Amino acid sequence: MTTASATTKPGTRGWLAEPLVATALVLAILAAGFAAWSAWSWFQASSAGAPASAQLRDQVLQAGEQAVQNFNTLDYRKVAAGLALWEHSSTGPLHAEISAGRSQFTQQIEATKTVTTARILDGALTALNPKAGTASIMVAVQITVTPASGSPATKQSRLLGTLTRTSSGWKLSALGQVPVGAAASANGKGSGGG
Amino acid sequence: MADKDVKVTEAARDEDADLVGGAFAERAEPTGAAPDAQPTADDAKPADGKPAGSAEPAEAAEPAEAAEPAEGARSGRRGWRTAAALGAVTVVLAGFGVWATLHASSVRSNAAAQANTALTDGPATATVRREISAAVNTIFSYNYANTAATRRAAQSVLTGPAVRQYNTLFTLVTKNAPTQKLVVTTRVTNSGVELLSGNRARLLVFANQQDTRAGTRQSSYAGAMFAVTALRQGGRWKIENIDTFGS
Repeated sequence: MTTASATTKPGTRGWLAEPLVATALVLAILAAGFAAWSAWSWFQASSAGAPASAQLRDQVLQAGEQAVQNFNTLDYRKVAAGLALWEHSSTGPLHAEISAGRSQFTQQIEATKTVTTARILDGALTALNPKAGTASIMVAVQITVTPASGSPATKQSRLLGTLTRTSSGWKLSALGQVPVGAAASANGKGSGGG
Repeated sequence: MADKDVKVTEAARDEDADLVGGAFAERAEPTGAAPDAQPTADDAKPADGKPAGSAEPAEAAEPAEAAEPAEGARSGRRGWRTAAALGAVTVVLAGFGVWATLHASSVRSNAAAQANTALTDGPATATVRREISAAVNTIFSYNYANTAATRRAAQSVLTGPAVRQYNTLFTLVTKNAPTQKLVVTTRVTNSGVELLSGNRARLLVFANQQDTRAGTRQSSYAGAMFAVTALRQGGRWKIENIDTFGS
């Protein structure tokens, strides 16, 4: 009360406006700060994409599906190119297996004269360990095998794969079909390719 | 004469101060309004012709100070104009701030609602996998002697279009199973969550089916693969649709 009446003394009217202006200025500055912060927050919110972990999952799944597709595609007229793609899509044990069996595969395919194509029906990662650089993938694939003569045969296949991170992306280190029935309890790993 | 002049100016000034103060008060700054409001009340008293007991009116009437009020009025007018302008700026900035904050939070909650948290949300992914695997095992396992039990159990894990899909299929089962003495056991061997977004999910499922004819005790096996669209209702994941990839 006393301080209040002190500022209202008629002799002090000249600078009475000053605390008012000062207060208004402080509040304007606060409001500017708030506006700047909220604008930044808005910008952050609208420019933020999916979190890194979600992006990695999508990227690994995509790489895995592509690798599975590559592994189920082979044309007897272009065996060398096809097998080179298999090697490119694989790493570790699977890669070693293909490299070792390369000449045998070539002979087999050239003898049967088949063209194999694949269509990925669906796929999902069942595990992803970014630290270890490993992932597990399951893929539903439709494989069409066209012989040199005769009509193409289509079958659906259930595949499980293991992906490993390499310096040139995520690659398959294991790929196999899910066994049916009584054999289901046995190991699910088989050799890749169709 | 000069005294009267001052009162008018002051009244105007106080009015304005209140206005600005009012705007500030909205920004949760109650202290901005209070000090200015009080002087108004104090000033009003002497103006109302309060007996000259107080020192204030006497001071105001002092001739030495008589020139100052006019000058004060001018600088005061400038002062409250500045304050009013700042107040307007404050209102605009704060208004924008509130709007942008609300907008940002709605953008965030939209993004969160649409985000795919499959695998990135481990516990939620595990829950939907577990519940949908159990649901698949339940609805595709039956004993010819009691198909009604399976049908009943299925109703609690199915929703939407899947209810009709299933009932159509199961009508055949009810008809054929008893004559063939079929016991069917379905086990999900692998399942993966492709999409998990709030109460909606899509899973890829690999399952093995063992068919046993009670009469012959012979079993045959079949593998199946399909995608399940799931919805969470009442805290429980239910199958909304089954996509068998055209087979």
